[in-house]
Amino acid sequence: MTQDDLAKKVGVRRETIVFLEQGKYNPSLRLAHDVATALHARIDDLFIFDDSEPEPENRIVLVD
Amino acid sequence: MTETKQRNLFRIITGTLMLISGLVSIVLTSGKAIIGPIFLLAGLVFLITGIIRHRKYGDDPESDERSKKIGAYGLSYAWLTGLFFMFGLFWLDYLGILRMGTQLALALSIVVLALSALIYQMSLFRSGKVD
Repeated sequence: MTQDDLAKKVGVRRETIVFLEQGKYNPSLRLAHDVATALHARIDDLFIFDDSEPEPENRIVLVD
Repeated sequence: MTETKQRNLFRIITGTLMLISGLVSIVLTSGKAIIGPIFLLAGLVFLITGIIRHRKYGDDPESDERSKKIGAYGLSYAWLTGLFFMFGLFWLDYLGILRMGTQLALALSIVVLALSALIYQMSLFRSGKVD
């Protein structure tokens, strides 16, 4: 599935998917759920909470 | 048809109708009624906005949670910038360093608020660093 397909499926702009993949955007729980549903996966299969960095750099990162 | 396309189509149709109404009004009143040019300008704005948005976004949503967040962050930073700017203006005037009329001070504040919001939003859109 392309970024464009995923963006259309979850109703966001393609750049949002790009920034999600790069770990530059923390999605809302709703968006994380929609992405997981679209990819037939669980939220914790797709996203990891990286708490190794000090606050406020903690980020939810979309797992490759 | 998607919601975005429908909205843009509505803008284009409304713009065209207003444009025609404006032109008809100008011709019928020989340009004496003010409503003609107003309709003409408003129609043009609607039409151009509709066409640009349709070309730019097509089927894609014009806004999502990230873009809304960036919009809100941009406005918040702009508000803070405006506050500092007006604070600076007040003290410059109070200490007699800079004298300006109310009109100029208000105009400058409007420019600072609008421009800074635009710059912050553009910068946040580019960097993508918004949580």
